[in-house]
Amino acid sequence: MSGPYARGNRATLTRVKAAPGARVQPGRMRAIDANEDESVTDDGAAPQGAAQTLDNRGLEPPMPMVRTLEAFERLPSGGTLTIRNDRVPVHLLPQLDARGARYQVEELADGGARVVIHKGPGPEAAR
Amino acid sequence: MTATGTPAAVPLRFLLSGVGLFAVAWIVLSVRPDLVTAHPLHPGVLTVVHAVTVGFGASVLLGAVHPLVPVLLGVPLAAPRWGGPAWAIFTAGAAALLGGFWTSSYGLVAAGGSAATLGTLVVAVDLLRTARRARRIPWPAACVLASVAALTITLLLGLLLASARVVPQLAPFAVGWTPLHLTVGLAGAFGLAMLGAGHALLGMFLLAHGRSFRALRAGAVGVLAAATFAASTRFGPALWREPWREPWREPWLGVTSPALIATAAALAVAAAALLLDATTAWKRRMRRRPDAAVAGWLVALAWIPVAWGLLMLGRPSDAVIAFLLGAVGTGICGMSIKIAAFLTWQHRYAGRIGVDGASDAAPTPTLADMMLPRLARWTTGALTVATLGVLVARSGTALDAVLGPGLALALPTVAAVLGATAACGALAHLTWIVAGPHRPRSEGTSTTLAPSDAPTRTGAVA
Repeated sequence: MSGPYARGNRATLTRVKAAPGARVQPGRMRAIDANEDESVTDDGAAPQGAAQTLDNRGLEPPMPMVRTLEAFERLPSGGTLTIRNDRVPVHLLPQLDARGARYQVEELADGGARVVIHKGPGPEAAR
Repeated sequence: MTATGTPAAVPLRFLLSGVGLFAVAWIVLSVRPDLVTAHPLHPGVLTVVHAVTVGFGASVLLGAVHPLVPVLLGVPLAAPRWGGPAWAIFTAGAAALLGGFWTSSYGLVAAGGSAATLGTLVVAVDLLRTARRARRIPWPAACVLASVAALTITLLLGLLLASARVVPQLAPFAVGWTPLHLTVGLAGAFGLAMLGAGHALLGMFLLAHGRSFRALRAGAVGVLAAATFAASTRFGPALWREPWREPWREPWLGVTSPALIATAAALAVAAAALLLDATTAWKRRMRRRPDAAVAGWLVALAWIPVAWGLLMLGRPSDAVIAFLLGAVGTGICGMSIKIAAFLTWQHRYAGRIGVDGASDAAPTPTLADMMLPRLARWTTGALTVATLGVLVARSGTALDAVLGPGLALALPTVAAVLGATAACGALAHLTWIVAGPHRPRSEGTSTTLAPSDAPTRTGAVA
């Protein structure tokens, strides 16, 4: 199976690269450095400052939200989770607010969205 | 709270009250089966028709736009707190409107219509402000927004028609608006909503992404043209508005004036576009087998060509019945199940996802766990058969010859009771989704990264 949907059903760990020139919604996270390119491990335990990427394209709601929130909770403090969705995940954002996450939403030219989620001092401390 | 900042209760209230009034419409038909064959302007018929259009269709539409439009536009609602008052005003207005029609009290109809219009306007203004925040307005969102605008226009036209019954001085201004009231309401509000929301929801739930917007564009143009031609039945030249006479009139053609033929042709374009878009979604789907709720929507689309055919055969009342009870009624009952499940899941269970210990204390159900597929399938089937029964019951003497007088007499009652049972089933289903104690039906539904109701790649490819 090829195409974008082939990546949809598993947590895909790749390297983060912000799209230069992408529109950035007013978010609560630091601006993405266009040259940022951080290493990751593929066991889900991202080291401090490292990034994890999750491709949620081609999934039926609410699976993108489920995968994102699970991955977020596994993320260590200071870690960054970047998700790629078919559209801006407006229903996810309040859930991230409730967990004390900081995030930045980029709308992409193809109608999709990339959200960079930063786990700060930990949900307990954030609450 | 949903992600849009809108309390989940707002769209769920709209859905529940809407489906509740759909059940009321069928129950009224069960109690008064003579209304099945009564004149279209009979007070009871007007009550049932507006229970389905304003009470059910418009209510569900106004509820669905609360979670759907932010998703389509990628921005949260501008004023989510307006939703609660809008629901209260609209629903009270709809109830007064129906009471007014039932009692032939057009003052009450006008008062109820005013409140329903006000409630719709509140939602429309909220959506307009939301759209102004969006970076772009994709075609599905444009269709949904236009459908709310069309609903507002329809309600205003209806208000004019009702007011003319109360204030005689207004009567000259109210002449000739009925075709536009019907066309903008049925094709504009419901047709455009089915186009836009159908495109988006089928994409999400059948996993048919990446479809072009060409069908939506064609459908929107068709609806706009139909509304223009319907308006021309009031403003156009006599030769355009008046029916053709022999020998120009084809004996099989029931639509006889150039304006109405043009309207019907434009409606055909819109209907074809809607069906084409759904067919494309079906062909490109990654999910092989749709769930029962989405299947209900797809089955309902089959009523659209039936409605158009009945219109062309000169049976506009039957065409309206096929479209309202068949396409809108069955389709919305199906899709509202899915929307309600998603909203409820988000409200009740999203907060547990990934939280240590939360899923151990109470396992998190999936959307599939929250729905009752057998009930959804039964609702779709029963509504389809009931609509068919109503249409057959209206065929008059031909029915007597085929079924015999006794069975022909019982058919409207049987069809209406079946429809009422199905609509009550849909209401019970919604209530279960909103308030039921959902339990995961299978293992693997805990909050792990393993997908739950998403298809596997190998099993989903069409």
